[in-house]
Amino acid sequence: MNVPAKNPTRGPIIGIDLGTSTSAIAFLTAEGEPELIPDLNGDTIVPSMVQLLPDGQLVVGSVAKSGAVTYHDRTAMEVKRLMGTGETVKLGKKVFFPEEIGTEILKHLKQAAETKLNSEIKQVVISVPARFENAAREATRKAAEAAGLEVIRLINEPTAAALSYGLGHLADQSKVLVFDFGGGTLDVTVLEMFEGILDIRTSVGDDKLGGKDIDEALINLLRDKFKETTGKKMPPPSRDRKAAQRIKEEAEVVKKSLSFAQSIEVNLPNLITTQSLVCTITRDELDEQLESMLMRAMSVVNEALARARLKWEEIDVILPIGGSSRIPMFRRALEFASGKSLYSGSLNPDEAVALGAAIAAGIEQDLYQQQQKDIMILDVSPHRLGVATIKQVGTEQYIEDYFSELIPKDAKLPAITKRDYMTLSDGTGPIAIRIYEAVTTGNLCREHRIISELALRALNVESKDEPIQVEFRYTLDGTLEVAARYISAPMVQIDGKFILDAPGAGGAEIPQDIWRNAPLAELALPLIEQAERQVQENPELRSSIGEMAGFVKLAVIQNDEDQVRKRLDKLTDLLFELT
Amino acid sequence: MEEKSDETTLYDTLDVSESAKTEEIQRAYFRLVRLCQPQKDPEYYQELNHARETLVDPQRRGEYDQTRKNGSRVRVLVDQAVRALERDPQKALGLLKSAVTMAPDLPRPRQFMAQLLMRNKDYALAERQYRWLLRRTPNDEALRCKLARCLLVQGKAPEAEQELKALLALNEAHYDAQLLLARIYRSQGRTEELIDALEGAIFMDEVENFADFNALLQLLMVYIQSGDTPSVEETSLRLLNVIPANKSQLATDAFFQTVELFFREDHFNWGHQLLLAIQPLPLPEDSPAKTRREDLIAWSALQQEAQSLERDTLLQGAIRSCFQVLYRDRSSEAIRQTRMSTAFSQLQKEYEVDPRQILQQLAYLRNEYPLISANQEKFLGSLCQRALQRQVFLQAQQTARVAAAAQQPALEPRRGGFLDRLAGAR
Repeated sequence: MNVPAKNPTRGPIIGIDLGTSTSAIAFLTAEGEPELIPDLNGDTIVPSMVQLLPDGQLVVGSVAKSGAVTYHDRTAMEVKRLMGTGETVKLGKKVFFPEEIGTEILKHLKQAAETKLNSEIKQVVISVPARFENAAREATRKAAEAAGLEVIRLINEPTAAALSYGLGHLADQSKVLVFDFGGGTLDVTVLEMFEGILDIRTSVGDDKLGGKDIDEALINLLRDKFKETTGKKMPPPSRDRKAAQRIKEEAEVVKKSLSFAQSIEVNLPNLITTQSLVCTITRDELDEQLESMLMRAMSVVNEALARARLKWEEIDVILPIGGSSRIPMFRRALEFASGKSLYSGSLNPDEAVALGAAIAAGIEQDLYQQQQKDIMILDVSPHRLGVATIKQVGTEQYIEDYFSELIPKDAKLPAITKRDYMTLSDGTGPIAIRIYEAVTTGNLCREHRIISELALRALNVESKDEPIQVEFRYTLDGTLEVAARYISAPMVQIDGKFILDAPGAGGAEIPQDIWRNAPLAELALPLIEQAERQVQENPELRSSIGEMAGFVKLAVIQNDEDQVRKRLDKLTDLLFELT
Repeated sequence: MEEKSDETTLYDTLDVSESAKTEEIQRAYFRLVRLCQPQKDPEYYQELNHARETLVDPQRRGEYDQTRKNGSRVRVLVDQAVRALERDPQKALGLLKSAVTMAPDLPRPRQFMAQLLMRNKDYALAERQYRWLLRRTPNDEALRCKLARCLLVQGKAPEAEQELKALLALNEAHYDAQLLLARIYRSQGRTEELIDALEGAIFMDEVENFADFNALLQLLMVYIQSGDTPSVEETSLRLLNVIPANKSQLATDAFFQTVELFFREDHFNWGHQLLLAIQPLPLPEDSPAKTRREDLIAWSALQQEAQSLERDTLLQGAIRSCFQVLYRDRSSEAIRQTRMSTAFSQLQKEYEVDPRQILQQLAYLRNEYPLISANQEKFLGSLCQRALQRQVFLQAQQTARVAAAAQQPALEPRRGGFLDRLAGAR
């Protein structure tokens, strides 16, 4: 990331929380205090929903939410989980990328802020879950670009939350645990605050655990109740989507109410034809459903503490962030485990992230330096990065595609690592340097996600035992520079620069010779060529067809036949729409 | 031997004294970070981070300090110990112990020490060393595997299983770990889990190839043990299919090892089955492996016989010990000869008393155990002959006695038939 130019005519300082279920936008006042901006519907907390009305108009936020029952098949929600995966959502008959939905939400927020501040907004800081993989980060960046926003930095949500806490506690020296339990993910971040420096120790998360899963548990509970009271089984959600949407909304209400009340009456008249759902849900019933989620959440917390090498006694502040952190059961469990009470202060779990993002924008634009308030974030690498190697385990035994770590998890960014490797056999062809982002803690590359591949040309015909140096430079804005060279002939080298993302997404284009030589290339070749022709003719198709072609190529080099076929189907759909 | 003092230490990087407490180090780090601009000078930032991360972790700080202070001396000690490892393990252990005392946070002496302790069967101490090493590098597969092995020999199967599972989570293709885990399942009779684990390992890369050899072999072992004949046949075909021609020697060695494993646990029938299952594997004519295979097949058949003989409650006394010597005794020839003759004289005493019983048992033997080697045949024959002679002699005595008493008792016809058959069989 280029350090933003000290632009005297810069626009307002804006931070955006683009959340799974709700989003928010905040600006920084001249005093450096963050403040939320209500959208045109009057909400500061905007539901992350986009709806395509039958007249072709797109509506966002609480308007979309209130129409979600009527237009259940025209409403996109909780698309954040799909960011960067190549999945699509359908509103009515139109196919959208999750990024496009994100763009709509961002446009909506931008418009609100521009109205309120009466000036054009260009530069923003957007928050993402700490666990977000790089493809999802890049998708977020692209969504912002399409909305006419320049992302000066992506900040991890727990870091943003800690910032909004930290601004009021600048002189403190404390160790903070941020329990960020949002709509889609749980992120636990441990950091140390030292007189304005936010030293992130670690971020651990479970990206399949969030409010959405709690809703699902409640929906199942309500469906069971329906069967209990009426004796009839509810049809599956795909058969009766209207009823499903009603149940879903009721589940949300129940969840929120049970955070305060011990029990709540449910009354959904004429849910299925003339059958109504009338019942009582108690907090104990909810707790029962949440048991296994609680176990998972607490194991994430423990892992974060272990990684940070801290004990509960050493933690000074526990910050509950995200809507789901309001649920009493999780709060009780945290209080019980830590022996401390959670920070309640003036921090609203739904607002903290957006406020923090605005503060981060202020830091990026040197606002606080001018005010003699020193705030600094020392952020860490969310994932492990490395290359594929062959490991010798016995005299005749080798493990292929063994992950060799170059950038460990929790390495301070920017990080630079150099490592030396040996060639194993007499190479006649180029040496492939395959770069991976680790998904699990495992040591095998097949569990991980390939980022790209570089080919280092062979030094000579007999280049056995030739040492090669691989260098990774991973910067704060998620750019990875990779260089590989022969130690004996450092002039023979290759360099690659990747914005760690899905290929085709503006960053790293997968080189032809790599994907075309993959075993599945034949399958994809005709369609990709057609797609590339189309993109050449109409450059505006790059964001849809070009990108999908990129996803196909990615699946090809990952040798994942299922994904190749799935994505080819989608590409066919997109190409078909043109005709 | 102090290393060069003009070298920049991590303490210099952070501008703290070598006795600085963690708290001071953190403060120093934050002070310097505030001054440096991570974006503009990442190399310097990296240095600061490295220094701080090393120094705030007691173990890594210890390792760093001790390497600086005693590094070269420890290196000399360890090198000496490695050289003495074979000749004088006791001396090597002493050297390593002093190295560990001198630099308790250095991994290398501990690695060798653990190795030596394992060799000395001092498992509890070795386990401690392995655990210490693993805390330092939790992703080290070889180390974790060694720990599991160490736990296993101590009889801590559940703990070993846990370690192995952790290891397989790191690398599901870890050869030794699969082997060990299967061994645990096998010893605990958890057949289904075992089959699942093995099939899982085989299907991991979808194509069955030589990499799956081990898992397939294990699977075959399981099916043999559970007596599932159709699966045995199917699996042995799969197994033979994955062996490329140039690896047949390697594969055969592995088979022999497995067979011996069975034999060591006295499961001769299983070993025999395994040998039969791999008999179609083409081996070069008159290669030692081929001869050995034939020998093993014959031998395991014999052992199976012997085993069932042993379990047979109808066989008793001297004749039983005779067979034990004949079939089972793997001692030297001289010892076998002595034991054999003891058993023979024992047997002879019994002839004196009741040759009929001996004969009955021999007849039973021939009936029940038709597969008999030339060696056995000979032995059995000579026994029959002796017993027969004795019987005839006793009968003659009795006849004489009876004749003297002027009475004529007839031989029981059934017994006579037996004798005829035995004599005829010879």
